[in-house]
Amino acid sequence: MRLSQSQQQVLQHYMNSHGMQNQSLKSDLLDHLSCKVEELMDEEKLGFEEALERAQIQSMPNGPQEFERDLKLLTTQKSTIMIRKIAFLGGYVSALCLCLSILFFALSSFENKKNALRMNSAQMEYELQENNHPTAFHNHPIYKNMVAQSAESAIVAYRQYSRAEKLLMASIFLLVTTFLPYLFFAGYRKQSPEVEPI
Amino acid sequence: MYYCSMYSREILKGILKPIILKLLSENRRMYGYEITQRVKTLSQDKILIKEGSLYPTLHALTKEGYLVTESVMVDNRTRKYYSLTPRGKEAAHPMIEEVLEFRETLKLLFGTKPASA
Repeated sequence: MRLSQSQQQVLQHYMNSHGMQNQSLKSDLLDHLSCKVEELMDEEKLGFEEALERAQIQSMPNGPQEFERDLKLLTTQKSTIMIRKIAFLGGYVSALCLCLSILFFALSSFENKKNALRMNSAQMEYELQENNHPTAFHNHPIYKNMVAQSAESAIVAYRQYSRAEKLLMASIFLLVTTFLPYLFFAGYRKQSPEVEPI
Repeated sequence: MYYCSMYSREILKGILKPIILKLLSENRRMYGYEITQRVKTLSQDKILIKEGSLYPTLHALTKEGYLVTESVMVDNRTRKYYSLTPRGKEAAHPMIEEVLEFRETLKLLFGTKPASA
């Protein structure tokens, strides 16, 4: 038995009432539902209304929009996994950069502190030596040796500080461009309500 | 929701694509409802493909370039026929072979006849 035009319109209205976006899938499901209704009317001698009700229960118990959701899941699965991988890798490298940055910053601070202590210890060493006049300290070999070591130390501290700065920038950049967008997007998706059928 | 059949979902999961490709490799073109009915008949009502599995899979296969569709007006509605693309034809053979090989392996593991009670 073939469905009449008015019966086809009832089915069309049913599909439209669920607000499906994918027209291609919609026409597939409309044809499928029509075939199913025709089969039930033919084989079980049901009236159109009853056949439609049974076809809906058998073929689309949760409505046709469920098919759209499943299709979306199926076709975006690979890209979702890839996005997740990138986000987590970005988050990991960002955390690694942050740790290294803290380490270099600490090393740089230690180097500076070491320098100040070296200065104090050299002065103390000089003062402890007998017959030394405080004003002549700048000409003493202890002072000259200390200045050379301090210069070396300052260069090392500067390099470490510079590394810490670069790593901190890289860490923030990676966090802002990979992990944070994913985190906020995932949170947004959890919070956003399902689209109501029109 | 994948299939409704006498077999468990765990056993059947993963063979829908080979089933579709096999049917389409033997028929020039088929529409969705026709596929479900053909599987039902060929499997002697043991495998009933649910629409919730069939259509998302057909669309995914189309998106991946294995299938192509052709729309035809039938009884005041659009009917979409699916057929294999050259890429789909290429993919069908190894996918079917894999299922057949798997069947042979299962025979080795479980034997050819059901164990008697």
